[in-house]
Amino acid sequence: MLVVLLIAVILAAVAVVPRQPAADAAGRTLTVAPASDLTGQVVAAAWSGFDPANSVSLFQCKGAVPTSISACYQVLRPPAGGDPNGTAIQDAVTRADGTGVAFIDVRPAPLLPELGCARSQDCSVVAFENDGSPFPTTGLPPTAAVARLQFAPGPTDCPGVATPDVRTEGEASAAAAMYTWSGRVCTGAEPLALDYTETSSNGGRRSFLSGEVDVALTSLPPGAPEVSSAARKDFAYAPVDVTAVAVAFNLTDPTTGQRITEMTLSPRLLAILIAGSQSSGRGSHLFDDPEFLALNPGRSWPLFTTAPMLRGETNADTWLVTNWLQQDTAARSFLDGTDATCAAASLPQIDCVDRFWKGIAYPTDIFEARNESTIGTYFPRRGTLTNARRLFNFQAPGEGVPTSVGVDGVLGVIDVVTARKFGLPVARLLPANAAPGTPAVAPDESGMSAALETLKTNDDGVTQIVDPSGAGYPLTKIDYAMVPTSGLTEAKRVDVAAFLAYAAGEGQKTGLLPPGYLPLTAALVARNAAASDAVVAGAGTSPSSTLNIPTDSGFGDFGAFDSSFSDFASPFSDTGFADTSSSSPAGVGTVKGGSTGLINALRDFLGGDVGMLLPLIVALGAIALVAGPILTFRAQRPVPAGGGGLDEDGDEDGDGATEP
Amino acid sequence: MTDVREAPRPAPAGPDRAEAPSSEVAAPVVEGEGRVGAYLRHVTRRDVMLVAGRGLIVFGVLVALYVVYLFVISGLEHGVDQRGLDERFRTSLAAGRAPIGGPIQDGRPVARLQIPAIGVDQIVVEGTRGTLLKQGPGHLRSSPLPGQAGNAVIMGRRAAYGGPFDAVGSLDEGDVIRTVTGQGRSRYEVVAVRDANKDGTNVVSRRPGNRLTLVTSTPKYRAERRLVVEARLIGRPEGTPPGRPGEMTRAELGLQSDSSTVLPLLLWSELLLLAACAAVWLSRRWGRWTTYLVAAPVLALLVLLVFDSATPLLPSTL
Repeated sequence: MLVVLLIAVILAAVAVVPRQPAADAAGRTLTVAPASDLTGQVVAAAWSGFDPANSVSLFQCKGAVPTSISACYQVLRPPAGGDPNGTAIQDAVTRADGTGVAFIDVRPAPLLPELGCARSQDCSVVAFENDGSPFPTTGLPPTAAVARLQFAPGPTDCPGVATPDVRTEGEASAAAAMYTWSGRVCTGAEPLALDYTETSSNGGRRSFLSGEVDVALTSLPPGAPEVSSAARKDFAYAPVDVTAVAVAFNLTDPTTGQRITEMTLSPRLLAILIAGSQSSGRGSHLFDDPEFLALNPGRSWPLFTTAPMLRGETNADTWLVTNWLQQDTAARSFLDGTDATCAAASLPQIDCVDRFWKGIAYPTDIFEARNESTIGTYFPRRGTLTNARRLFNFQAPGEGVPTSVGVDGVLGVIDVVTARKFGLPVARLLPANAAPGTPAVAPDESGMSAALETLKTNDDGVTQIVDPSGAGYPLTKIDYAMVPTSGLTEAKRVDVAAFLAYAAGEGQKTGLLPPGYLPLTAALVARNAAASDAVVAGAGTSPSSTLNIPTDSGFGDFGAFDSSFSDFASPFSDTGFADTSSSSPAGVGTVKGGSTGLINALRDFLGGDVGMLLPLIVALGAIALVAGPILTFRAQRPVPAGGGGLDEDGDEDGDGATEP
Repeated sequence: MTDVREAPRPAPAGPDRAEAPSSEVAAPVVEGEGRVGAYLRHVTRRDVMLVAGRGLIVFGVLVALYVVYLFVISGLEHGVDQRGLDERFRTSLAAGRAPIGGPIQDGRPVARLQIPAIGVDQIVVEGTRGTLLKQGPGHLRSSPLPGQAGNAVIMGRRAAYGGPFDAVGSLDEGDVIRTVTGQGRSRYEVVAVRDANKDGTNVVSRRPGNRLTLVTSTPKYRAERRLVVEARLIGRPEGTPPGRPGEMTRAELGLQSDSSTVLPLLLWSELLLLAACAAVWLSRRWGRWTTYLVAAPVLALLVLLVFDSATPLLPSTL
């Protein structure tokens, strides 16, 4: 047995000792930047020493030094009908000096479970030349160069738990912070298992108000209909991050061939992009508009824009954007078909505002595919990530719509954090009703700080949004944690308060707040603390919400990303256009069908506390053992003649005997 | 009902019911009236009491047998299971195939657990549902294996099926716990013994560092709360391969029923009832001793099967 154990230990030791990267004989090198503390993001991979005659393939692979090419995720460009769980580049070009650079979207375990990249699982980018030789069965191709990727601690690095201490769901712009934070708070002296499901503000509120999650992340408060039908009535709002909605783009200057990184947009111009007639109509000729050219002088622009990349589920970003449009007189008049520039147009477009989008009431929290004939091109898709990836990949929202560099431009509405992760440039925006000459504002630190000076309190008297016509970046927003202030057990109250304290304190520090966020201001931190106090003070208990250990949503539940549901917004349902109810993809328990009612009833009973079951059975058995013999003894006692102790019995007996 | 009334009677050894001593029973059957009708006509309160009394006795005896089964016979079952598991675990260690991570099939032996201070030497199986804990201590599926980084959770029974974790409550700070897995030996030192509340999260989630958590139930025969032993890993943790499942069901957190055996329990109970009726019928045709000879082994086996499928409904760490 000792020998066996010794062998096992040696085998295990061999398995865990990391191997050093082998020096590349041909002098090929590959570096990635950034290479450490990665989240799901785009990195620049630069190589040198490659043969310029061959194109280069790049893959994300498992292991600091992958053992073979089969450890790499080899999905190439997204196939039709869906977004792939992984990216790779197959056709990168090496310059004459043997160097080259490509941008590759690398993903941690929650976004690419096949590789499972995490702080505890190193991954790498492998680049090799497409020299026509087949892949070797073991090992990497001879021309391969490897660069190590080290991911930031994430949820996958946490110890597995049956039930997270705090379950959260909601706003996608908070995702980067939530993943970073949950990877940190799960270890240490007072670990907190923090679970986050990325959906939207609306999705988070829905799950929170129905009691499915402990905390919702939302940029906007719920509407009156949402609250009136809610199971949870008492809640508070704690600011957790400040970021902004952005118009991101992927454009190439047709003259210079360089990527365009600067753009200024007014509300009216975004209204044209959204509601101008599509497919070679005015919506796709944004770059010809006189206002656009006046705001963006001194460069040549692509000929067309594709249809805008917009989120197709109910979400707060859309509400904020359409609210900005609504506040602006010029944008509103374009939407109503009374645009002056348009009326005097000498441009070849027939319509100004597309008739399907004309006169739509804003603000709204959903973009819709309204015109059946443009369904292939104008195609709102669900989820920030889906939209960001298509922007990054220079794809139109419609499936199979060709795009060519320098001719088409792809624009979309996502949040600043996601844009930064994908390295996408974002537009400067003008406030609503800006006087001529007002400078446009970028969603950077100063732009967002300035916007926070113009906060207006919403109807609920608590939450605040930025005035879209004030100075500062008009689409700046605060992501709130909606927290319950009653019905929690003490343990849950402590956990929720701990999460809030971390988010407003440690979580706002450099390094723990991913790029794209503005650290909370002192005023917002104070609001967070007030909400935290309300949670801790919240009396009342609801045992069912805390003793219930769910069977479905564990810590590793990332079903809401994009693999579990179609990323198409259901454009034409039976009930007409725009089925606005985005399904809540995660956190909803499904009850497995039982065999029969009796068995289910038994199971329900046994699902409760069964500690007393054995003593109960034993007690019943003991009673039975006493009562049984007594009854038997009395029944067998000879019947006295006159009846005696069993006189009724005797009577009955007599009746029965005399009747026949 | 009438059958039951007659069968256990000591005197009438055979189908000859006319010689039964009790006058009520021996009432002659009137011509033209159905047999059953005649019996029903003569059912008296006395008979009802007799049947109820005997039923209660049978129930009481069954419960007593069950208690014997639970605390004595099930221990033997556990011993046999452990022997088989020991064999399997040694073989897989020798072959270098002992599981070290990822999804592991329920019931596979994953580790050897030794606590010299209380004489525990058990093979740990994967999974913590009540049916699995019959074989030995079970490893919580979502936790890392002993020796790996993180909080490894092992649950075990306190009283039934050998009660491998009966004495863990008497461990003291500093007592040594040893584990062997496919990755090698590890040593833990007991840090604390706690009487934890029922909320599952307190036991399995909020544990910092590299730990081993043993979970059983307390008080001994009632299983109302969790008894938790926390131990700290001495030395460096082994590598933790990814892929542990993140989702647990209620039944896997100790103290809970494993309702997967409800259906077998109902079916075995029905079969037992049928067999008992058949035995009564036989006894009237063949006589008493022949029936005992034939029916007793069948009934005993069915009773054992009923007991076996009923036990997982009790708290899993009882």
